[in-house]
Amino acid sequence: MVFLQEKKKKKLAEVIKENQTTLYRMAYSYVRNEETAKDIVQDTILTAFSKLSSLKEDQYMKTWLIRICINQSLDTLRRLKKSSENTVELQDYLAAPSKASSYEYSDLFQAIMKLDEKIRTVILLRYFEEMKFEEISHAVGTNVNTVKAQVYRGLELLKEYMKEDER
Amino acid sequence: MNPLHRAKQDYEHIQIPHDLDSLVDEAIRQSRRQNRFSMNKGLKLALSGMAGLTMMLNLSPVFAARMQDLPVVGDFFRVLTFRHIETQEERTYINAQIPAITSTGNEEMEKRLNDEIYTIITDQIEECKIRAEENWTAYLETGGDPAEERTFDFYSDYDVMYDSDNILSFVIHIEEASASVEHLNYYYNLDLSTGEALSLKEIAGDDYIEKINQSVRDQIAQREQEDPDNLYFHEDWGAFQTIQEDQNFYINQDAQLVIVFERYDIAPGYMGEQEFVMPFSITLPE
Repeated sequence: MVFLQEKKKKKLAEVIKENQTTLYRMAYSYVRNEETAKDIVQDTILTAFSKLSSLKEDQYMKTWLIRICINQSLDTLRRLKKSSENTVELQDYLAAPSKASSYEYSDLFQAIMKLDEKIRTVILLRYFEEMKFEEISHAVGTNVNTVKAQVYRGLELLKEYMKEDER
Repeated sequence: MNPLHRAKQDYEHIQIPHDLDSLVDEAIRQSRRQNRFSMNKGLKLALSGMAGLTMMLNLSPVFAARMQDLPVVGDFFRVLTFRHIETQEERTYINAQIPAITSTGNEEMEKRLNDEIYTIITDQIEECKIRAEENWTAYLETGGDPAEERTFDFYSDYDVMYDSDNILSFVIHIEEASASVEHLNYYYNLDLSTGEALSLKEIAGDDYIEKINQSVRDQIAQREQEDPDNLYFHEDWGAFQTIQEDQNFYINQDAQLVIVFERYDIAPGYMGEQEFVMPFSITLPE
């Protein structure tokens, strides 16, 4: 691989710092638990450094990092689901008023958080992290058209959900 | 307000833990220091209580030598940084991790290999310095600007690939960067009970050459089919024929044999090093 390992590591450290809140929020959106999300962020960083040589082009470092974070989150979820019944109903967790304040999440946000993982992820990346379709496709590892289809499907689902809610 | 905009605000309202910043810094610091090592062992420990310990191990050979008496450390830290050299001189920047092996129970082997590794890396550093000076002289003689900064950068570090009771597989990476980048990798696969290097024949069987060649050929074909960007050399350019007598390899975390080709060995430079995990099971000494 053509790279200056040290320089690449330095760059990676910078990209991690710039995106640490994104990584945390992504992880949190999967596991809905602060400690677990922090673990995922740590694992993401360790994995990123250890697999750095597999990253061919630096320009994709951010999306590559997000991809690792998503994979770590999915792995963690799988393990949690397998290991016990204690998946404190994820929705319940979210629906419960946040402990720090009496902040109320909007219906749409709650609906987004209830979407299935794949669709929720692309919606988060598109509308909350404001990434381009092209970038999202790198981050989730599918082609651009699939990402677009998933985003539109997500929006349809949300519309339906919001309608039902009004009734 | 647009509901999506409101939802974005909700998303941003997900509270960021106050210690996220320091936790990320620490994970970065540990990763850069330890490479793949802590990952191999799944050592989250390294991120908390062990952090201080690892640092001391790396800094002090004397301390390292004593630490092997402690059971936990003995188990985990078989390869550790013996010395870290970082120097910025006029024509060179050196950043070298020199690993050493400890706690194998075979002191003769440790001494032999540690001397060897130390010599390999320090020789490379000396050669790098000589090349940097030669390059600088040539540069000036051809009308180069003496005010310009031109350095040769030298890096070395290592990765532990597999570490069991009796087997230790690790690789030392050396990079020299000037106008271009040169890579050197040294693979070590040790049978700790004998103190000898593992041979491919020993772990993959008498027909290892044909088995490995077949798998490499199959995987090359598969990779080319999967992604048009994957291009290996074909007839004119020196297509892969057979593994070499001194073929590089290592054992991965799943105790599989991985065959490694350096850049340009079997594919154009942009393809980088090429690794092939062998699908058949191997026999590792008990």
